[in-house]
Parts: sequence; C-alpha cells; structure tokens
Amino acid sequence: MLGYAIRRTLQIIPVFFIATFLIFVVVWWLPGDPIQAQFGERTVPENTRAQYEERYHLNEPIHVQYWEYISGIVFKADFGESLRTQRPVRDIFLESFPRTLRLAGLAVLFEALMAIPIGVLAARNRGKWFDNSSLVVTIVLLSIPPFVMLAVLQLVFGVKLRLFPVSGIRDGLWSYVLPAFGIAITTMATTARLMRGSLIDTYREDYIRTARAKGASERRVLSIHALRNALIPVITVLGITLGALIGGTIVTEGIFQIPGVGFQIVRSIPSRDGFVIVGISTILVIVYLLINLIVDLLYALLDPRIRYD
Amino acid sequence: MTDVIEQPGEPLDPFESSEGDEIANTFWGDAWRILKRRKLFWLSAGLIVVFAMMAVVPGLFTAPSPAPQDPGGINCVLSNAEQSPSGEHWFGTDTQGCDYFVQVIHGAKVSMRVALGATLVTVIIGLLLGGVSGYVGGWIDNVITRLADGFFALPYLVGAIIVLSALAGGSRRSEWHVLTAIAFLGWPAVLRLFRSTVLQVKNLEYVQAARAMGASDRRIMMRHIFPNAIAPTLVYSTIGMGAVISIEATLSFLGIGLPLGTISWGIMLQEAQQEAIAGQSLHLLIFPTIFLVLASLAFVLLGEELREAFDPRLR
Repeated sequence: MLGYAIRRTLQIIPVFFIATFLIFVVVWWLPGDPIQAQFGERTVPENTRAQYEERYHLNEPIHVQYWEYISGIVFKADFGESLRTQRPVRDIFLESFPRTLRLAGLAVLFEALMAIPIGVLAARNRGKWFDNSSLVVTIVLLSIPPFVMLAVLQLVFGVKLRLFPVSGIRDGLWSYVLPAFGIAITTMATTARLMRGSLIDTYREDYIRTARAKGASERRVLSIHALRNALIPVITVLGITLGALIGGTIVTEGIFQIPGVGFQIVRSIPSRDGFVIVGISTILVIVYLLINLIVDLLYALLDPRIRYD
Repeated sequence: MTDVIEQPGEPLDPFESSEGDEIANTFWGDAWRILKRRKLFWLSAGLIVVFAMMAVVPGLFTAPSPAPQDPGGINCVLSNAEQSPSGEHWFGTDTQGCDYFVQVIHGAKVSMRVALGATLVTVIIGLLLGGVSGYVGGWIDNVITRLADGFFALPYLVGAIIVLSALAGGSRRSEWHVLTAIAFLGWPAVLRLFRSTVLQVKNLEYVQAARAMGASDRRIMMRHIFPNAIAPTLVYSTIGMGAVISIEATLSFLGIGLPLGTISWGIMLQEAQQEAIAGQSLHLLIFPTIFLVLASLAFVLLGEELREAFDPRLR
C-alpha cells in the first residue's frame, strides 16, 4: 500500500506543472498590455512602468516568469498579488472561497436529497412507470443547459414570485438556496441513475437473499442491508461532484452575482490582472488533484487489486 | 480458439447483414438490429436531421437570410417590436421588430457548426493520441497521459473562458474561436476513453492470433483494434455534441462567446433574459430555449440509444 501511495502521489507532480504552465501561457497570451490595463486611458509614467516590470518580472522571457511565479508558490506558498490593487491573491481567494464552497456544498446536499430517493424508488419499481418516467425526466434535465435552468428559476422565483433574493449575497445562506437548487436539479440525473443501478446490483447479492430467507422485512432489507453498500459509489460521485463544482460554479456565480472564485477570475480577465487569474486557477488545480488523489488512495485501501496494477 | 482465428479476415462494415437478418454476426450488425426497432433512436435521429437541415438550408423553413439588407432577407419594422406570437409572426418579433421565427431557425447554424467542428477536432486528436498511447505503451504512453492529465486538471469553464479571451478580443470572436477553445479542453476525455478501450481490446485472443499470423502493427491497429474499440468513443462524442451545443450557448449567454448581434441561441437568450426581467416579452425567452434544449436533447438521446445498442451487458 505504501509503495502505491508514494507512486500515486508522485504522479501529481508533473501534472501540476503541466496544468499550471498551460494556464500561465494562456494568460500571458491575453491581448493587450497588462501594465497599461491598470491605468485605463491614462499614459503610464516611465518610472512606474519600470517599477512594475521590475516587481513582477514582466520583461523576462515566459519560462523565467513562470519559474519566478511557481517557485514562489512551491517554496513560500505565495500566490502573487493583484496588479490592480496589490492585494495578495491568497487574501482574494480566502475571501471568495467560502462563498463558492457554500454554493457547491448546498448544491451537493440538494442533489443527494433528490437523487437518492428517486434512484431508490426507480430501482424498487424497476421497469414500471416510475422507473421509466424518471429515466426520461432525468435525460431531459441532463440536456437542459444549466444557465437556462438558472435564468428561469431566477426569473420565476426571484423576479416574479419574489420568494427568493434575485441576486447578490446580502441575505446570508438564504441567498444561496435558489442557485444551489438550480445546480442540483441539472446535475442530479446522473447520480439518480447511478443510485438506481447500484441498488439493483446490490439486490442481486447473496447476502440479500440470505436476509430475505431469514424473514427480514422488505424495509429492513433495504435500509439495513442493501442501501448501505449501494450508497458507496453514490457518495464517491457526490464527493467528486463537490470537487468539480468548486471550479465549476462560474455560470451560477455570474447569473446570481455571487462573488465567489469563478467570479473573481472572470472579473480579472478584462483588466489583465494575470496573477489573480493564474493564482486562483492554480489553487483550483491543486484542489482537483488532491481530491482525486484522496479518492484513488481510498479505493486502493478498499480494493487491493488496484495497488498491484 | 479455431473460430476466433477465422475472424481477422472478416470485413467490419457497420451496416452489414442488417436487412431482415435475425442472426446478425458482427458487432455493428447486432447494434443496428437493436437500434432500428427503437422509437427513441428514430426520434432523436429525426430531430438531428431536422436541425442539420436548418443549419445547411434554412431557406427550406423560412426566409433564406435573417439580415434585412440581404437579398431574400426579411423586413424589420421597428414599430412592430416585441409583438407576441401571431399568425403573421409565429414566434412574435424581437426588440428590433424583426420576425423571431426567422432568427430562431437561423440560430441552428452556429450551434450545429460549433458542435460538429469541436467534436470532430476533439475526436481526431483523442483517437490519434489515445491509439498511440494505448497501443505503443511505454514512455510515449506516459508522456501522453501526463499531458492529458495536465489539461484535464484545468477547471473546464474557467479554462474555456480564459482560452477564448486569449484567442480574440470580444467583438472579433467568431465560431472558430469558440470551437478551438472547446476542443482545446475537450480532447483529453476522448483520449482517456479510447486509450482504455484499446488497452482492453489489445490483449484479446483474436488480436494475438492476428499478430501470431504475422499481421503488421498498422494492420492490427486499423483492422482489428480500431473497429472494436471505437464504440464507446462514438457514444461519448454523440452525447458530447449535445454538451458542446450547451457550452457554446452558455459562453455566448455570459457574454464571453460570440459577439452581440450574432444569430445564436445563446445571444438571443442573453438579450431575452434582460427583457424578461424587465417584465416583458416572455416569448423571446421561450422559443430559443425550446430549440436549444431540443437540439442538445437529440444528441444526448441518440448517444444513450447507441450505448444501449453497443453495450453487450445490456442486451
């Protein structure tokens, strides 16, 4: 196990450098002069320009700039600072991340609350109308672009019925309920079907037959025996969804004006605030790599075959 | 083992032995036999044909051009702006008084072009690199998979937005830029899928048999591995086309994709949402939504039907 864990952990090192270099190159490629962008229409004084170039290594070739930046992250946990406000990227991230986490966490919670009962009911009524209609409904929900769902929810429940705040985060956790529900309803389809399939597979296991043979009630078979095992892959997927949502709530944040991490990145593109874009994206890459590492290691712990592959 | 060795010479025509043949003996023949009996397959394929025709020959459905200045274009009367649907204007009129049905029909062009283009590029890169990676193995495989992992670790929409901004400034963006940004981030998924199926197929007995008979690498890859490993990629990329349609509309809606004024469902929805929040003209929101969802749904459904037909465990 230790050997596998070390090998798997070492694997993320090249991936980290490739991913961060890619982001760095693309951001470097953004059109326009980053220093001029901070001064709008005004001319940049010569000595100010020189100070900027000196401070942020902007005159160096790209691989030197990348090395300066990445070594700051690796050795000093320094993610750079905003060109516009000189605020450290770490502070910007720490301020916006809880908002994104609240949104993503609530979305995954709603997803679990909807997908698990639907999946269980579909599996229990396999081939009957509930199963068939839930399949059709989930495929339709899956093909509705999330932004359409979110815009319609905002329009109906926010603007028309005034049941929820339309945008912003002034109402605390309550402001996140509607956008989180919108995310959950469009992503729930896959999880509900996974729950269904997993439960159907579990019902075929010998120990379920044993439990039934011993006279356990159908309810007891489901709640004590089947559901526990059938939930393992579902919980894994919910965990991965949470990880994906941390970098993927950008559309929701845009529509509902939630100043989370995606919002910060999009806002920094027109002002060419490169270190904010690269810094926050790098943290998102690290989060993604760590979540995948943890999932893989847990699986290896549970299933010895993976370790000897 | 003996009947396995007979396999290599057989042609793998996708539609072979399909006509009324109950004992189809190829993978593709089996799949086709299942597909042609399924209503949802014909429904989704029919929808895709209709949307494809909208994109290629919009003149079949409505005026050949949505622009007032073009020959065959339409009349926009500003005093008719934001009318509700009527016999004259089936989908009503937009904020400029132009017929909305014409706009919505012409919106299919961008969606279908970007979906087809981005998927083609993604699949070609994914198949080439995935095939090499899975078949050759060794350090080449290592380099290619690490590179793909690096692309895969980027947050998808954030990445697409940054790439798109780097490719071209706001008003100069075209469907080519959107297509490139989507393909730039999309290929690693195809690579992973195709590589893993190649790895599975590579060690099957009939491939070993072909190798024992002295077939070249190229022949083994093209005739034996490729036709038998392509099915999951075909399913994935069909569903993927639905996803690309949705992503293109999302980017345009957020104001990061195509510039304002482009005839695209995403742009229409962006303008319509502002009108709708102001409490007006819900029809501007409803019609592009229906078309967008149907187009995306058609590809997702077709993909699901293909999956059912291809997956031997479901048979």
